[in-house]
Amino acid sequence: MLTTELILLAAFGYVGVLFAIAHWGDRRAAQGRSIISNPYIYALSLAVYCTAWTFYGSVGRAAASGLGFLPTYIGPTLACALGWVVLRKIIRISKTHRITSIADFIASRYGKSGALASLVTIIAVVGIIPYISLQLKAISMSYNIISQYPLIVMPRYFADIPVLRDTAFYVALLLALFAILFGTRHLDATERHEGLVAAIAFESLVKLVAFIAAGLFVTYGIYRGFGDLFTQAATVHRLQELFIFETRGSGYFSWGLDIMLSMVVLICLPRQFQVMVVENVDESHLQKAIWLFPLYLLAINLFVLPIAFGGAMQFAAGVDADTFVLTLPMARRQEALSLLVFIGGMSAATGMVIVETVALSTMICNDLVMPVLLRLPFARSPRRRGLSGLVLNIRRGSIALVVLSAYAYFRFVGEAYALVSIGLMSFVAVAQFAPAMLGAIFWRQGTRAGAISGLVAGFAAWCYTLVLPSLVEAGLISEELITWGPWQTALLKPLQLFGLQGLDPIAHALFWSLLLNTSCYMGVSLFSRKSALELTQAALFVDVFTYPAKPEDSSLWRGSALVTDLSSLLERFLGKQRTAEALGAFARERSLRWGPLAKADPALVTYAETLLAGAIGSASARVMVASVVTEEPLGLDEVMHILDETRQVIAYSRELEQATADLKTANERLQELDRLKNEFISTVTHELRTPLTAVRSIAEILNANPKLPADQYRHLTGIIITESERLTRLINQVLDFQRIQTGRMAWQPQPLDFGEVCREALRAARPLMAEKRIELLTEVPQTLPPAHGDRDRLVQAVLNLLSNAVKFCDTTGGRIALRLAVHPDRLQVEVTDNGAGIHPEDLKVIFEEFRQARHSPRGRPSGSGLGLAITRRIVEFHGGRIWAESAPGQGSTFAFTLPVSPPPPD
Amino acid sequence: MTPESLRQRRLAGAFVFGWIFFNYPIFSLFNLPLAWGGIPLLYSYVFLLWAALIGVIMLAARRDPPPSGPGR
Repeated sequence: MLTTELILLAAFGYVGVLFAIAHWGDRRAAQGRSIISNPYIYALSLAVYCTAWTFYGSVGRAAASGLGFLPTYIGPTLACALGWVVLRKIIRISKTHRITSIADFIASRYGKSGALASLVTIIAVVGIIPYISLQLKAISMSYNIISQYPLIVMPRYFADIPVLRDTAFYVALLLALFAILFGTRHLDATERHEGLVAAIAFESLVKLVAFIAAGLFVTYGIYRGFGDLFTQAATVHRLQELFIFETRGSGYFSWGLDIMLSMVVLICLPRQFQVMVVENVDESHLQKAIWLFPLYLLAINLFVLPIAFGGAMQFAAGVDADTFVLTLPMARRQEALSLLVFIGGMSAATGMVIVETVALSTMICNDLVMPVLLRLPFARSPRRRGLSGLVLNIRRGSIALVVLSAYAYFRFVGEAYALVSIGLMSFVAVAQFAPAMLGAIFWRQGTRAGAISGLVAGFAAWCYTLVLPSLVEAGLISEELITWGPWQTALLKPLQLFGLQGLDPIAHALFWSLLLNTSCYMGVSLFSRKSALELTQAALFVDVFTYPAKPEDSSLWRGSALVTDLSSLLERFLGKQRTAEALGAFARERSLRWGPLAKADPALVTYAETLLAGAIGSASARVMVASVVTEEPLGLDEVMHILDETRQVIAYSRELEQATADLKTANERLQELDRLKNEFISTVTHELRTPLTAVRSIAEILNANPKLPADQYRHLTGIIITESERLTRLINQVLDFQRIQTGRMAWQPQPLDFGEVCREALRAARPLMAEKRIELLTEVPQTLPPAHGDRDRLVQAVLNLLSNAVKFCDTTGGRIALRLAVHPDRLQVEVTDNGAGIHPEDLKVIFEEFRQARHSPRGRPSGSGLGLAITRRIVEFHGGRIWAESAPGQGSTFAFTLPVSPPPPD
Repeated sequence: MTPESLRQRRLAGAFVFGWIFFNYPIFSLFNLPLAWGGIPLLYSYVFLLWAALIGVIMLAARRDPPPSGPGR
């Protein structure tokens, strides 16, 4: 039986488990054995996106509008596709500049502006407190429902329950405690909280399992699968209407706007920035996370529609659709499942509250409280040491304040709204950061003035079109404002601003606020001037991938400061030990030793500022560093100059790399040529020696035996003649090749009959073939179109192919075919043999000089290796093309073409 | 083209694919009162498309194996 005690035990026990996991994660991190450093935990931590709104609210929205809940999850999926470009850039920038919150990101980009940081913080806090209160409301609601088990009673108005008897109040306190313990352990320049992330990843797992378990129970426990459930729902007219998307009014437009809203919100929500950017261990985790996270979203949404329709069919009126996921198992007396769902809902709510408050507290402390505090004399006085404790306490206070304000909002304002509409309101608020944020990383022209005016305009529009109507609904402002507009001006009606009708309130507010925001941002940016610092930061952000990874390597600062001043400044915020470690690392890396009165170089000042920025935000860090250094302002020209230099150095080193690679390739090619030339010389000398040896030995025989019989004498002198002919051919080839190569070949182009050329080559080759008993087949048409070329060279080309074929022909039963085909624009000569064929490897290089077939089954072929190279040159000179086709064992075909009427070669 | 810029183009392509198929007018082609094995056509379309998009992102984000040089 689900007693109140059991439920409370489970709830607080669950929070206890979270504490244990966070503690374990922190301890492992301290030992250097991180448990969160992998893409799966990273993706799970991103799922902090799914809050109680997803867990309870989606079902409520689905029951009212069918697919209307889905853009909130499709948007992030699409954003993930762009994530590799956008998110990776944001992560890289944040790691380089030690940025720890979205306010710091925007402020740092637009000239480390304190005003901008405060503005972003205020918008974030105002926009998100209702969203946190939504989580508390969900916890309170779910507890009140499950504690009535087995009855299903919708909770009364919470205002009736005294605060001290409200479970949500204690849960809120517990969550604040958790965030304080694991979100503000120490002041660190990186602001990473491994234990906290581990707990969040665990929460993501719990809510997914709980929701899918409930979904499976409804789909397969109450109904017989998806088909059955939807078929039954189709019989209820009200539900059947939800099967198609409502397109009256601005259906598709709102749908697209909603997708866009949730896309930009993924990078603008402080808690997403926290888990995605600040807590990111390794940029490369993004590669898997950009599909794992959408997969999570798909899985957790799979059963939303079945639960919504199941609930709508099971319950008569009187049960809030937001509670179906819990009340359906309860109605079926599934005690364990009900408890699991309750815990799952709690995990969705608590995860969001914890991360969001930690992120907001960093912003409140760094960008609202510290700037004021640092202007007070007591904080600036160098005698006051150890401000890190103060900073941490401010953060702890901010966490408590945020959680309690959210609780107060829930108690006094948030009653009237469904979960989803509160959440969407917050979405529109944080979406105001999108123009400044995207401009920060892609648009160099964006200025501080532009960002401030855009944010102010967007925020004002949000207040007017969304907050004002919600106050009217809560009864705080008279309803006349909505129905008649202020001062009876219909054009200014908050829900139909300037007469725009047909959009739902969220789409309406989103449209106007983002339109005003973007136009102000861009318009003012284009008409305002940038300071040197803005220019610098713009370049460092937009081109982050082309600058060195450490900001101190591209220092844009000139002035003088003492090392001791800087180190005592750091000590006040980071403590003695961390400062000594950080400065020691810096000195070691650059092999520096500082004497007592050493001056700090620009790199050290930038390094110190970046370290401080991690702890107290970039705007405050700048103020603090400026208090100990005497700065000489840099002119615009100088900034541009330094930036250019840095970029040039990098570009230059890239060019060097490219040049080195080119040289290497050229060198390899030269070596290869050198090797081939050596091979060629040894081949040619070998080829020269063989006939020479024969001639010489025969000459010796003739010399020693003057009385040789006449027939032997004729035989021997015949050998001398053929061998010396061979020698002459070889030497001619080498000479020809050399002439062609150096361009000294005397070509004698003239009109010619190509058939005659072929016949002459055949006449010259016939003795060779007769010697090897090779059968010859010729197909040469009698009449041919006139051609143009160097007759002797073309005869040589055909002859080369023929003698090549003879060389490779089968020794017995060899066959060679010479075919001449006439095409409209060219003649094509083919010489086919039935020899061993050519290996594919050789086919590629066979026409190159000095190359011979290496993979021949009969060993190395004889000849200089120049014949085919010369033939190629001759054919190419005549504007033709030469190629070979062959497969091992299938014989080979050498072919070339000759244009029919080429321009007369000179 | 470097492997990195190829990956960026593929992912941008995945985004365009998703944006077009999730929005008017393609979206409206499936907005019909039909059912497919009992399940409303539009619901099947949206969830199958979603799964396909995730698959495309997964493929696009994958690191290509280093191109093999000519085997000589």
